[in-house]
Amino acid sequence: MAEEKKINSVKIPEVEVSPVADASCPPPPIDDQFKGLCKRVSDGMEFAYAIHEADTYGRTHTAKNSSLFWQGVESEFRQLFDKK
Amino acid sequence: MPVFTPTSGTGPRQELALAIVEGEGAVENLIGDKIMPDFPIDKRTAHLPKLTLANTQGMRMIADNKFLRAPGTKYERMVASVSDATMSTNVRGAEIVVPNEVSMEWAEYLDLLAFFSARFGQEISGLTKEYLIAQTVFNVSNTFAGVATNAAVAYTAANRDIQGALGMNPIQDIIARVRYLKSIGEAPDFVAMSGPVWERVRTCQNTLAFVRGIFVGISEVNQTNFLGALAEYGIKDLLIGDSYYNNAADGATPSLVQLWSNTYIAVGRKGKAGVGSEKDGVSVPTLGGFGVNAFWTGFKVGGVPSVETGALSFAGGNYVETYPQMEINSMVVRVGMSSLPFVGNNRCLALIATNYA
Repeated sequence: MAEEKKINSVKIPEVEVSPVADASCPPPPIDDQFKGLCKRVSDGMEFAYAIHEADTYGRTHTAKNSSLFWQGVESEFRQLFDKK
Repeated sequence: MPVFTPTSGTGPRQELALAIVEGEGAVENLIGDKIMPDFPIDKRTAHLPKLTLANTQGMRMIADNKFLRAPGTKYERMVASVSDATMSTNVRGAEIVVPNEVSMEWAEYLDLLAFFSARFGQEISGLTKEYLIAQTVFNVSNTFAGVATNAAVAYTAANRDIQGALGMNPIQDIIARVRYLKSIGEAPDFVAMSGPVWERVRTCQNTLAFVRGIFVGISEVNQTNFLGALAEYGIKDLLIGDSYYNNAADGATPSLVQLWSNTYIAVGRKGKAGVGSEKDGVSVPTLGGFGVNAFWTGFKVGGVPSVETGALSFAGGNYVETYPQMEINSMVVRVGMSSLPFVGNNRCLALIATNYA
């Protein structure tokens, strides 16, 4: 009986494992990773922007507001947006 | 003591002429060529006329009063101009040396030339084409709007389980993009997304509610009934890009990355090349839809794409070849590609930013 009690007292380890999908596809930045504001040159619309590690397709810049989402490389970003 | 075999390694054994291949079957279910079909061109660069809505009286009607005319008076005259487009393929390739000594060592057990020919031709070539097309389709630069539209509610695991206005609602997001594309003159016929996004889409509460409808009993959401729910809006194909590629260094632990990212869902009109159709309002051969995967092959004089690549073809297209390099007593297996995903009409693509997390 003493042996059984010892076995039952083992604490099951708690660990966290990242989902496979997150590990296999770099996600776009989450909202608190956007560090600055910019304006779209064509119409002055305001976006938040983030600079991050390259995604699956080599894109390093993301701009986003409540309705629209843009992602591309630095040269495209400089052409389309003005930092505030 | 009994008679026994000392170890399995030194005992009698059968040598199997079979190979264990990791990743076997991994290049099935590619979707790129369904969105941008292969399109052979006869020179490295091709040029074609482009007939735009703006400049060729596209989608016009003549109900205005100015088109009314009295007998014997002049007709109202329209004007038009022909634009042009150019596609220029990129030539890329890789090769591997198989020493004859190694081939002979493996003779009758493993045909290394056949293995690498198939790996280059089916796997590397297929995955490269798929990547280039995914990179082209999941690219806001290739949309008419120049940006993607955020999903009304982000596709997070938490939002999947909420029904109603606070939950993610892919069907409504897709319908909104279909309406948008129709409003800019194109009739979308496909929806494309990654495997993980599809898993979230098909299990979310709002999709379940929409696909089941009111009168249908409990059913799981699969590609058939999801597509059925979108058929009313002209969607004919639901394409799930669910393949991976290895971006680790040679010999390192494989690092498999999705070819189709979770960032977007694409709604658009598939590329197609065909003959003219009176039904569609045009009677010239058209390169319609979003675009094609052009590749350079079948050289011949003249401007008509060649379907016969025999007599006058040369190595410019997508191919695998082997050649002997006798100074090192080896055979070389080479893959050559010239794929170019060519976007002919960016009005045929709209992207939904899933905000998948």
